[in-house]
Amino acid sequence: MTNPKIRVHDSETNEVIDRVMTDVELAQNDEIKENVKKEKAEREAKLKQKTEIAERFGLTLDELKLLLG
Amino acid sequence: MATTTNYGWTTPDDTALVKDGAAAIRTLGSSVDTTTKNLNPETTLGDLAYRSSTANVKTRLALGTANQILRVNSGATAPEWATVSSGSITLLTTTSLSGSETLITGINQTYKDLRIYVYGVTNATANGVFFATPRNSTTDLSVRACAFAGNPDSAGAFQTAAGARLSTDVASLELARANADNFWSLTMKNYASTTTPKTYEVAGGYFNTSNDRQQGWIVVGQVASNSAVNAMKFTNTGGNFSTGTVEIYGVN
Repeated sequence: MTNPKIRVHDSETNEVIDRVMTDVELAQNDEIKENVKKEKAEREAKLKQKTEIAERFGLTLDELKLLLG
Repeated sequence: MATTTNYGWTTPDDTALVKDGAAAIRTLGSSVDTTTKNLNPETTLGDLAYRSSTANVKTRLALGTANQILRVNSGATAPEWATVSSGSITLLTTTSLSGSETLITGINQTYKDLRIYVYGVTNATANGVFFATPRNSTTDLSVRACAFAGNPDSAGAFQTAAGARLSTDVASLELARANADNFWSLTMKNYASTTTPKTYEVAGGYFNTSNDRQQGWIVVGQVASNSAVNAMKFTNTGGNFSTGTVEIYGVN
C-alpha cells in the first residue's frame, strides 16, 4: 500500500509539489493520530468511570456535576 | 581693556584716547556681529538652533522632511529630526491545503512576527483534530499550550504536543469535517529567533454540527525550542484535506 500524499509548498520559490509521504513523514503523521486516539480513549475511560461512580449514588453524571459544581 | 559682562566684548577704557574711538567701535561692532551670528546660526526657513558644547555658540539644525518628528539622538546629546517608523504586515504566501498533510517551507526569516490565517477547512473522512505544527527544516517543534474553548468542558486543558491544536475532538467542541465555516488566526512572536522559545496565540472559531453552535477557540502557548521556525505543517487527524486556505504574513 502506498503512503498517503503530502502537499509541499516552498514559499521561497512558490513551487507546489504533491507527492507521496516518506516513511519518516508517515511515522510522524501516525504518531500525531495515535496520540489523539490515546487521549480520546483516556478521556472516554475517565468519563465512564465518572458515570459509574454517579450511578452508584443513583445519580446521572449531570446530576453529580450539579451537586459538585 | 574693559569688557562687557555677558559676552566679553571689548570696550574702551575710561582713560582711552578719543582718537582711538573709531577703532574701538569697529572692534566692538565686529565682536557683536560675531556673537550675534553664533547665537543665530539658522540659514534657511524652518531651521532651528540649539546650544552647542561651546558657550554662546549655537548649532544649526536644518529643517527635517515631511512628517518627521523632533527627538533626542541616541547619545542623548542633541535634538534631531527622525522619521517615525510604522508597522507593516506583508503577505508572504498563500497555500491551498491538500493531501494528508500540507507543509509550507522556506518561510522568510526577516520579519519580527508571523501571522497565519487559516480558513475554509474541510476534510474527507471523519471529524478530527486540526494541528498547525511549527517546524525547523525537517523537524517538528514541540509546543506547550493551554487551550480555551467556548465551552467549559475542555477549557484550560494543558497539552504538550507536536503542534498547536486548532480544534479538538471533544464531542461538543469538535470541528465538523464537512463544514467550511471556520477561521483561525495564529500569531507567533520572534519566530526567526535562534536563541529563545517563541510565544504564540491562536484565536479562531468553527461551526460544530453536533450541537449547531459556533465554537470559539483560543490557545496560548509556546514553541518549546530555540530553533527558528522556517516551516509550518498542517495536519488533520480526520483524513485528507478537501479544502482550506493558509495565508502567511510577515509582521514588522
